[in-house]
Amino acid sequence: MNDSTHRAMVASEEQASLYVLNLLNADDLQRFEAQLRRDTNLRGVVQRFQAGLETEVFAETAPPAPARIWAKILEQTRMDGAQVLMFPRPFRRWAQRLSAAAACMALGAILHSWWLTTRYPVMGVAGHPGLRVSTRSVPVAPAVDVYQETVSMAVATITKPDRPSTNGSVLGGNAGVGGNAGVINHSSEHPLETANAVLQGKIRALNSQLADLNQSLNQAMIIPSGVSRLYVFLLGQQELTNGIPSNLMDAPGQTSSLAESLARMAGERMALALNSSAGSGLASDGVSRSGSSNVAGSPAPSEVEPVGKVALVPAQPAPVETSTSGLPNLTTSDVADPISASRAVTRSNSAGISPIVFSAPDSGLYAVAVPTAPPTGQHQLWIRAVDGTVSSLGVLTPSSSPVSVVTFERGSADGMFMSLEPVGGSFQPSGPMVGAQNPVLPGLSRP
Amino acid sequence: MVRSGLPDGLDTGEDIRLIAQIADGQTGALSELYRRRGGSLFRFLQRILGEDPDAEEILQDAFVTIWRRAGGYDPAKSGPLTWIMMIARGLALDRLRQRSRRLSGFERFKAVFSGDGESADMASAHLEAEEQARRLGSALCSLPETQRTAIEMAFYRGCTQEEIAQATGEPLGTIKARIRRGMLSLRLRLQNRHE
Repeated sequence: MNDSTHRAMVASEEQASLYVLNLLNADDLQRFEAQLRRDTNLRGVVQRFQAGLETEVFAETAPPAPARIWAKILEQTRMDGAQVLMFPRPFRRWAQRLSAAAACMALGAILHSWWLTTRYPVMGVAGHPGLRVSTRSVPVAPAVDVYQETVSMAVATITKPDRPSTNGSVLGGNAGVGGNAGVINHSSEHPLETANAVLQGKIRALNSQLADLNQSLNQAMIIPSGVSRLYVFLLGQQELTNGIPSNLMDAPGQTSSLAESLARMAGERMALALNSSAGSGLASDGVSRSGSSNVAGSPAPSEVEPVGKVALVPAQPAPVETSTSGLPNLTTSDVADPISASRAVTRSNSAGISPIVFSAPDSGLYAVAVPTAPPTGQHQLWIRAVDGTVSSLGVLTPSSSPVSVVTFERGSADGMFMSLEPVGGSFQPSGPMVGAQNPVLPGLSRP
Repeated sequence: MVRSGLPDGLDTGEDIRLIAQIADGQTGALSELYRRRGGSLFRFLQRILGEDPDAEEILQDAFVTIWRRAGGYDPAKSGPLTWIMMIARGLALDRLRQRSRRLSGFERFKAVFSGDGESADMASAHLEAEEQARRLGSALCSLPETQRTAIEMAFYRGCTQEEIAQATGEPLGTIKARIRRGMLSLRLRLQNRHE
C-alpha cells in the first residue's frame, strides 16, 4: 500500500468514525453519505465502526429492563393504535395463591393416602389375603364442562380442542383407584411381583388422579375469572328469522328476547351485542346483566357490513340446566385442536371494518364483528399473553351451528384479535388483521 | 447488515425480523425486542444520564419511537442495533441538553477538565461516570485514555469535534485521529471477543 492510498484510507476511516458518532457537520455529512452510496468499501468501514459501538452497548449481558417501563410503553403504543384489545386482569393474586395452596393440599392428601395404604392396608386384594389396598379417594373441585353448549342457528363455529369431561371422571376409567389398576392377577405365583404390580398400578392411578385434579382446578379457575365464553352467531335478518327459535324472538328482526335468553344462559351476567336488523351496519343493542353496561357507539353503517359477531361473556358458572331449558336447539359444538402459535404476528388492518361493537371492559366483555370470509380464507381468533405470545383461539368455520361456546384461560391474557387466514387456519397470525377502528377504545386504528 | 455467527448479544437477524414485524403493528414483536435489548439500552441510557428516572423515561420514549419509526428502518443503511442505539442516544442527548440548560456539553467538560470553581461537582460527576462505565463493563475502558476521552465525549455526551478539541486543548486533527484509532480499537475488541 503506497502513501497516497494509505492516506486516503485513513481519511475515509476518519470520516467514517465521525459519521457513526454523528460528528459530521451538515455539509460533510451530505458529502459523506453521497460517497457512501457509491463506495462499498466505505460502507464496510462504517459497518465495522457501527459494530464496534454496538459492542460497547450490547455485547455485555445486561439485567432485564424494568417491567414497569414496558407497561408504560405498551400503554403508549396502544394510544398510537396497536391493534390489540385489552382485557382487564382476570386473575387476582389471591386466587392464584389459593389455587396453588389447594393444589399443594391435594398433592399432600394423595401422598398421605398412598403412604397410609402401604403402611396400614385396609382392604384385602383378591387372591392375596396378606395384601391390602386402600380405596381412599380425594375430593376434587367441581367439574365444569364448558364445551357442550351450542345453539344451532347460524353460521360460525369456533373450533377448540376436545377436552375430556371432568364430570365424574376423576375416579373413573382404567386408571382410577379401585379400577383395573388395582386388579391383581390371581394366577400369579410370586407374591412380591404381585405386590409390586399392585403398587405400580396404584402409582399410575394416583398420577392419573392428580392430573384430573389439576385439570379440575384449572377449569375451576377459569370460570370465576371473567371471560370464559365466546359466542359466535349470525346477525343477518334472514338467519334471524330462519334460524333462531321463535321463543327467542319478540318479532322478526327484534332480538331482545334472544339477547335476554342468551344472557340467562350465561348465568345472568352475560352481555352481548346484536344487530337490530340486517344490513343496518353495527347498530348495537347492548345487554348487560352485570351492571357494567358499556355499550359502544355505532360506527357509520357505510363502513361495515357485518354478518356476525363474537361476544366474549364474563361468565359465572353457567348451569347447564339453565341453558338447556332456555334454548331447545342446543347441540354439541364442533371441537378440534387449536393451533398454538409461538409469537405474535399480525398486520395492520386493511379491511376497514370496525371489530369492536360492544365493550364492558370492567367486566371483561368485548363483542367483535366477524365479517364474511372470502372463499379462500377463514377468520381466526387469537389471544395474546402479557409476554407477547399469541395462541390461537380457533378458526371460524361456516357451519350450521351459529352459537358456539369456547373457553380459554384468561389468566395471562392481554388481548384478543382476529385475522384473516388461509382455509384451515395458521400456526401464527399471518393474514391481515380484521378491524381498523375501535369505537370503544378510541385511537386503536393505526395510520 | 445481518451478522450471523456472533454471540446472542450481537446476532441481529432476529432483531431485523422483529423490527419488520413492529412495522406491521405487532406489539408482540416490540415486546420481544424489549426483552432482548431493553436491558442493554437501559444500561446505555444510564451511562448517559446517570441512574436517574430520566433514563427510564428515555427508554420508554425510545421504544415508542422504535414503534413509530420501524416502518422507516432500512437494514441496508445500518444494523438494527445501531438503529435502536442511535434512537435512544439521540433522545438521551436531547434530555442531557435540556438538563444542562445553558451549559453546553463543551462547557461542562471544560469545567471538568480545567478544574475551575464551578467544576468540583462536574469533576466528581465525571469520575463517577468513569466508575460507572467500569462497573457496567464498558468496552471504552479498555482504550487508551486519550482515545477513550474523545469517544466518550462524543458518544456519551454529544460533544462536537470542536468542543472536544477545545476541552482537551488538542488540535482538531488530533481529535479526529484519536477518534479514528479509538473506533478501530473498539472494532478490534469486537473481533477478539469472537475469536
